[in-house]
This record gives sequence, structure tokens and C-alpha cells, in this order.
Amino acid sequence: MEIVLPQLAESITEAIIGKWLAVEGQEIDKYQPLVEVITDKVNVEMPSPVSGRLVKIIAAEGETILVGSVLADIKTSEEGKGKLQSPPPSSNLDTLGGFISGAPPVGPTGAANVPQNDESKKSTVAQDASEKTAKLKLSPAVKKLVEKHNVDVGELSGTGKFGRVTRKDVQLYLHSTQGTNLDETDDNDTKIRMDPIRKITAKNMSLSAAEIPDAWLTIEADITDLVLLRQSIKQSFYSSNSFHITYLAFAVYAACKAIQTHPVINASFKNDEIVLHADLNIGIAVAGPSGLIVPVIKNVVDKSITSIAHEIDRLIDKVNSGKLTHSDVTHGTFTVNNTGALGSNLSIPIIVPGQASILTTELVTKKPVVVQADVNRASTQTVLDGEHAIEIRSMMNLCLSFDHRIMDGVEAAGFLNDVKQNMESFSSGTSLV
Amino acid sequence: MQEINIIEAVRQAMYEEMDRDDTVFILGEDIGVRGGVFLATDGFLESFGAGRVIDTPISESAIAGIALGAAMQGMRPIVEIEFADFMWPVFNQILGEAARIRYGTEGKLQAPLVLRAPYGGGIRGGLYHSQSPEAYFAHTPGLKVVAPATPFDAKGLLKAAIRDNDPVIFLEHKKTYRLVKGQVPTEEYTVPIGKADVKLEGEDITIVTYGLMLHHCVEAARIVKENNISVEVIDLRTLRPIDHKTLVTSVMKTGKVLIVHEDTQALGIGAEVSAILAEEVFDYLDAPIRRLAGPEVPAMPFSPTLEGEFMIVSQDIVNALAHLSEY
Amino acid sequence: MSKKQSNNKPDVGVIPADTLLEVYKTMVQSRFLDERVWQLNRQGRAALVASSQGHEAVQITSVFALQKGNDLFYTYYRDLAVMVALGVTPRQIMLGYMAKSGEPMSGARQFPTQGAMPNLGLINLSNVVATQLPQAVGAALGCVQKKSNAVVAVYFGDGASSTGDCHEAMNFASIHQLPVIFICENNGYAISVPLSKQMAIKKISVRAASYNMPGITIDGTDVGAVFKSVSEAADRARSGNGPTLIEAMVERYLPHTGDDDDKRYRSKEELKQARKKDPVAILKVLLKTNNILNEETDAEINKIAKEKIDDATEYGESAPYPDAGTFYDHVYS
Repeated sequence: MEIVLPQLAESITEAIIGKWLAVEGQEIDKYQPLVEVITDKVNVEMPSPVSGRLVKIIAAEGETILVGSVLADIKTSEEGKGKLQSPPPSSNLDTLGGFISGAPPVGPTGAANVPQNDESKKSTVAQDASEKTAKLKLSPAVKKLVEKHNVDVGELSGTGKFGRVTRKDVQLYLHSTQGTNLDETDDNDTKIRMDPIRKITAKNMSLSAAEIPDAWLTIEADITDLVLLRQSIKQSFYSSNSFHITYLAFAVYAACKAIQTHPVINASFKNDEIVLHADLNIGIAVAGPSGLIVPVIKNVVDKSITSIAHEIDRLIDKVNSGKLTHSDVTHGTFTVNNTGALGSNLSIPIIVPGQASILTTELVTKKPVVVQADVNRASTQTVLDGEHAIEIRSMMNLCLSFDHRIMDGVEAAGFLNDVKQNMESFSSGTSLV
Repeated sequence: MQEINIIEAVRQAMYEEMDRDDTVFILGEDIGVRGGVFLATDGFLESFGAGRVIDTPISESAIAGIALGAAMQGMRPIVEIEFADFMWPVFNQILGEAARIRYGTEGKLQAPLVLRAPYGGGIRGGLYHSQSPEAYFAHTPGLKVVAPATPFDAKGLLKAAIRDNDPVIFLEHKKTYRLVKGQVPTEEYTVPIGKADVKLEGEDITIVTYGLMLHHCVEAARIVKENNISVEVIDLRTLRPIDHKTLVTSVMKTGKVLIVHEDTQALGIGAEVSAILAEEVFDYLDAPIRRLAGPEVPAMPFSPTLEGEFMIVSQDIVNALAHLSEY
Repeated sequence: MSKKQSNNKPDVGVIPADTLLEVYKTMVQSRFLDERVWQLNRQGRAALVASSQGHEAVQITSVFALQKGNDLFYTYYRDLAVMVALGVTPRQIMLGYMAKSGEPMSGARQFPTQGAMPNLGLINLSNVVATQLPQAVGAALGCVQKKSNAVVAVYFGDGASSTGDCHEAMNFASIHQLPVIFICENNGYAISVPLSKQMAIKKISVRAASYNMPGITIDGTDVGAVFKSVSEAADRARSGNGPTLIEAMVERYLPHTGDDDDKRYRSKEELKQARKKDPVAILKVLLKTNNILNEETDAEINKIAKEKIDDATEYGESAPYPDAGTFYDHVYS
């Protein structure tokens, strides 16, 4: 702040600087004598108008300076605090209007030209009575949202004071899973109470959406041979084993084999590190009576297609009878979801938190496909030209969502391609055991 | 559109209403020959004559009672109390009588009067030329209390007040008389009493304010915008009745409230706004309701260092917004 | 009792010569001070000024007719000369006009000259017109209850006489025969509102009859008339014979305050005529005529007064503003 020479007495226009009573760098109190000022009418010790540090003496001892000239520069405590600068006033006033500069101010007892006083600042930071408990307490707005959407607040880290979970924290968390305008309440809507499974699913999906930067790709597999295989062995398989052989079992097997050449698929992103798992435990998404559940087939690498099918059957049975244990649903490192069973052609699955990717097997549909003309299959082909023919093939889309922190499209596509190759390789010659 | 200041907006409103309706007349100290100490009635004596522009003796209680008597007989008097600090003698006639005329006669009599006064400080007015009287009047059912901040609102609301069939206390912050300018239509218009106005839209914090503070709040909101704090500024405009709906809608959006007014904090307008919000939008609050208001001293002192301690400036509001934003 | 004094021959015999000279010295000092604060206001160095120019004779002489240190003086915003007469120093007054720390009446919380100095018996609390009248009557009631022989002089303008407070105060004082002297400084204007718009009567003193109290109108620029009427009123009050209303006719030839523009309601001619009723000039002539004053002694008086005012101005300018830390002091006991 610039300290200027004030008008010391009537008709004084200039003064001689006498002795400086403080040195550069010195901390100055308000009203502390700063410098001697000499005029022909009066000698005064000029007091400092502010507290602060005298950073620079500008008028030298013995110098004659005019009233209003700068004597020194004092850095006040307010200037150090990086005060926000006021944006320049708008020159276009609308109906909101605003302060205008240069307006002759009103006087204390009427409208006249009197000088405005300096607006001194006062410290008025309002005290938060509940600051210390803010972290522990949920504000009404947060409570309302948490209850409405069944959020597990313990999973969220708050961005408010002392780590308080703010309304915005909850909204962002929810927005990443739902994208709805959460603040609207419609009295005509029906509220459904969430059971524990629903709550867990909600929690996991939210977490996944919030944390994992996922990407997705899809590939089409021609599983005509697999379809024929399964058709032919379905009955006998069930008779021998007392459980069914499903496409899912083949898919799990295919994925397992593909993962062995693409180990990054069987990984987790933890603490900014990619952790490749030693074991491969593949979870299968099951629509249980209470909702989506993902029981896990442990150590798939060692298993044959038959034993995989057996595991699937066993786990589904447990789901339906409510006998799944904790260990049945934990330690999964990869997940396969047979969305085709729901009639889906394409789906974008949500990666299970802690895993690197998730595979879906979509609906098997018969489609006319352009294939290589093959005289051995003349009965099922319509030949177009010498090379190409149209044939009805059984097609199945495979979809993969993957964690882009762990892998890129190259690895994902490589894996998915292998899964496709594997699925296309299943035929009458495949051993199931 | 024209660009005018608050005193001109007030003057135009009264002039147009006196021109339009012969039952409107004005009485007060120094309003005739002198044109008012703030020139609110400049030129009125020449235009409307001494019968309708009456210079009164110093007798506030009588002036209020006289206006009330005339109003009950079908006139529409405007009373100018020279400074809000001199309004206390009118309590007897206004709070005690005018407010209950309709109620006490089952509507057979009414009191369509306007009592206007310059109020507020920051102009070196000292203990007796700086006060804010609104809370006392706003506490009384039967009265309406209006305190505009912009020339647009001042003109529109004063016209509405003069046409209103109930007694209206119309408060003009004297510091804004010349300091605040804004756009005002040249065509005929009014602004409805009882409706607050969102002066600035925002998402993160709602400010509720009125009077001179409105402009400081807008300044502060523009400053914190640079730091990505989006502030919605609501100008109450009418202090009785308070527009619950506008306040509630805003707080449902933002969840955080800062109430700013120059008048003493305890039992001021902010206390009522806080209660309304706590009652009606509790579930949407993401922080305690915060008030930034006048200190607990009987009146505003004269010396500039002491007056500065009383008056709220834009930086104070910026600090409060930053604090609330961090909660 | 209501006979107006003649303009031309002030009653010198009523006041001792040295008292008269003291009155004059006080007037000169007060006038210098008043002119100086007007200048400061025009320069933006004093936020507010309300002049007592034109009122000095009634303000100062009345104090001399009463007992400083014993009697009470309830004043209003235009009574600068009363305060000078009571002993408030130019330095103290300047602190008030510049709103500086150490201001003795209110700590610069109030307008200049507003506040109280109980040790001088000086009370000038409010800008709300006429609030001092019932308070002064109450003070007189207190004096009677304490069995003191103090008199309460309450000063007010013609404007204040229209208020309910004024009527109620006079009514009560006269019922109980309280030791009050009501001194109305009638300068013909309540800011811009002339007497004719304030009352249907020509003289305020006639109202005294409604309270069964003596009322007198005097020339407020005539020091003899002021001294005589106030002395008599004081005697009356001290002997338990109740209050008196003294209406002193004066001219206010400056605007109401520094914020007023009196050209809006007073013609140049009227203001020119008003300046002729300058009590300082009038007393100077009287003193010279009676050989109590000559050019040299007058020059000396002026010189001393100016030096005091110059000293006070510098003192005020270099004084600090009140510490904001004192803001909350004295709200409660």
C-alpha cells in the first residue's frame, strides 16, 4: 500500500522529509510514527495509517515532496493473502444495474458533495458450530439422497470440510450409475425397498462406474459347428451326467484358454499397480431369485468342459436353493455373463470391481452369412459367384468390457479374437473331458 | 429504456402516480419548496400545487396519523419521513392503527397509504442517520414492507405500492440513491409486491439479500465465479410478505444458503428467512444456514473506522461464500 | 413580560463590563471555530457541519447568566456556541468534527458536538428533534428530588416546537413547577420549512400561556436581553416558581447543514438581510461604543482565537481514528 504525504495544514502544498523513524523491512504498527515531515508551518511525526511491513522507503531524507506524493510502500497483511481481484465493472448496465463510479455521494443529512469514507475491512468469517462433527454427520440433503438411492456412504470419500460427504459427492456417485435427475420427487412414483442383494449390486455397479475407465468391443463368432455339436450330444450328455451342457460352459472354457495367452485379462488395478493373478477364477452371472449374483468357478485352468458344466450346474442349484456360501461368490478374477439367455444381441457389461474385464455371450441367431464356396456343403449353400456363397450360419456376438488402465484395445481385441477362435473351433471332434 | 439512479426512479414513480391519480398527494418535511432533502420531490410543488405537496412541521406522529385519516376517506397519501431514524414516533399510528384498520372494521375501512423513508448507512450518517427499521415493521401483519435495490425495482414497486390498498412501508437505501444506476423502461410498468427476484442464477450457493447489500452480493458472486463457485443471488425486494416459493426453489437446487443484510443480525429479516428455510427445505440443506448481518450495537457510529466495522463490504461476502463453499 | 426589546439600545447595564468582554471573546472564538469547520467541510475534511452562526449571542450569553458546573444544559445540534461557552475546548471540538479518537462527548460515535460531558453539565444526545425536551424536564424532576438548586436550560429550535414531545414536556414541567428554562432559538426555518408553514401563530412564546407559564420573545442578538431574561428565569426556577419559555429571535444565514442548499428556498436578498443580524458584529459595535473594546484589543482577541483554532485543526488532523477494537464497548454495563 502506498503511503502518501497528506495535507498537514491549510495551504501546505509540499514538505521536506526529515528523519525516517523506521527502516526498510521493519514491521510497523498502525499509528506508529513513521517519518518526520517538515513544513514552514508545522513539523510533524507522521504516523503510519496501516499496520504491515515497511518494504520500501521512496522519499529520501532531505527531499522536498508535494502533498499527495508517495513516501513509502507498506505491505499490509491483507495484501499478502492473495485477495481475489474484483472483475472490471461492466459498462453496460441492465435492469440489475450496479454501482457507478464518480457518483457524487449523498451526505449524512442530505444530498450534497461530501467525500466518501474508506471502507475498512472487518473480519467476519462466520463460525461453523458443527465443523468438528461435520465429518461424522450427514446433512439432511445427503441423508435424503443416501436413503432414496441406498448408497453405502462408507464407501464414499467426502470432499467437504474435514472429509464431510457432501450432497455433490453423493450426486456424482449416483450420476455415474444412473444419470437421472436425482433431486426431483414425484409423489406418484412407487418406492421399492431394496433388499440386501439389490443393495450390494447397486453398490458394486456404482463403484465400478465411478472408478473404472472402461472401454468395450464386440466380435462376431460363427458357432455353427458348436451348435451342431451341442444338438447332437445334448441328450446323451444329460443322461450320463445328470446336468446339462450349455454354451456357457464352452464359453468359460474358451475364455480360460484365451486368458492363458493373454494374462493381462486376469488382473486387478490396485494402488496404481497392475496385479496379475496367479489363479483364474471365473464368475458367472446368474439371475437368481433375489437378483443378479455371480458365483465363482475356482481354478478354471485345470477344468475340462464337462467339469466346468458341472460347476455351473452346482452353483446355479445353490443359487436357486439359497445355499450359496461366501466363498462361492468371492475371489473371482474374471466374469462371463450369458446375456444371450435374456435375448440380448449386444450388451455392454459392467466390470466387476477388482477385475480387469468381463465377457458376454449374446444370443445365438441364424443368419445368412457370406462364406467361402465349398462344394462339400453345396446342399446348404447358395453360390453367388465362384468363390462366395451364402449360407445360414449360427452367429453369436461376444462382447468385452475392459479396464483401460490395465490394457488397451490391442490386448483386449487379441483376447476376444482368441475367444472367438476357440468358440469357432468347437465341433464334433472336441473332447469334453 | 433509460439509465437512471434510484432517487430518479423514486421521483419518477411518484410523479407518474400523482399525475395519473388525483387522490395521490404527498406530505412530509422539506418536500415542497426544497423538493426533499434528497430531491425525491424536486419540481412537484410547481407541477401539482401546494394542496397536494404539503410541507409539514416536525411532527412525525401527527403526519402519520393525518395521512391515515386521509387514506380512510379515500385519498392515497404518500408520507415521506425524512430519515428512517425519525420513524419511531409513527409506530403508534402505523403499527398500532393503520395495520389493523381493515381487520378491525371487517374491511369497511382501508388504509391505502405509503410511508417512505431513506434508510441505511455507509454515508457517515452516525447513530441517527444510518438506521435500518425494516424488522420492526415487517413483524406486523396488515402492513406490507418493501425495500428495492435497483432503479427498475424501485420505480415499479413504488408505483405498485401507491396503487396498493394496504399500508405499505417503502424503504429506500440512501447510499444507493446516487450510487446505483440501472436500466428502467420508459413505458408504463409495475413490479408486483410480494415477489422476490433471482438477480443472478447459480448452482452451488443461494444468497438471500435486499437493499444496498444486493449489489455487494452480486459483486461478490462475480468474484467467486472466477474460482468456480456458482452463486444464485436472490433479491427479496418485499420483506413482508416474504416470497417463500422463490427461496425454496433455489435452495432445493443449491443446498447452501447465505443470508446477507445490513440490519442487525439478531431478530432481523434473516432470522425469519432462516426459519422458513429450515422448516420448508430441511431435507435439501447441505450446510447450516448462514447469516452475514449487522453487529450487536445499538446503531451505526459516525467515525469512519467504527462505521467500517459495522458495514458489510463485498470482500466480507466473498469470504463467507468461500467458507460456505468449503463446507 | 412579553415586551420585545428595542433593537438599537442593548441594555449594557444588566451585564458587568468584564463579563461582557468575556462574552465577546467567547463569541469570537466560537465564530472562528464555526467558520473553520465550514471550510473543512467544503474541503472534505469534516463530514458534517451545522453552524451556530447568527445564534451566538443567545447561546453564549445564556450560559453566562447561569451557573457553570451546577446547572444542566440540554442542547441540540446547532448549539456549538453553548458548548464553547461551557468550556469544551477547540481541540476537543475538532476531534468531533474530524471523528478522531479521544473525542470527549461520544468517542466520535456520534455526529460532531453530539454526546455528553456530564462534568460540564452538557447533554446533547440526539439528532431526533425535540427528544431533549422531555429528558430535560425529567432531569429537572431529578434535581428537585435530590433537593439541588440546579436549573435545567433546554435549547431547541422553532422546528422542535411543533413536536408532541415539546408539548408534553412543557405541560409536565408546568404542572409540577419544575426548574426548567425553555430556550427556543427561533431562526424562522426548520431546514427549509418557514415559520408560516410550521404554525398559525406569529410567536412561539404565546404558547406558554397554554401551560400557565411565563413566555417572552426577545431579540436573540441582544446580549443584554438574553442575559436579563435568562437571569430572571433562573431566579424563578431556583425559587421553586417553575419554568419559563424564552423565545430568542435569531437569523440562520447559512444552510441547515453542509448537505443543504439553501438557495432552493431562500432568495439572495433574504440571506443578505439575514447577515445584518450578526451578533458578533453587533456586540463589537456595542463594546466599542462603550469603550470596552478598541481596534487593538479586538485584533488581539482575534489573533488569539485564530491561533487556538489553527492549533486545534492541526491537533485534530494528526489525531488517530478510534480503534475498531472499541466497537463493541459500552453496549451494556
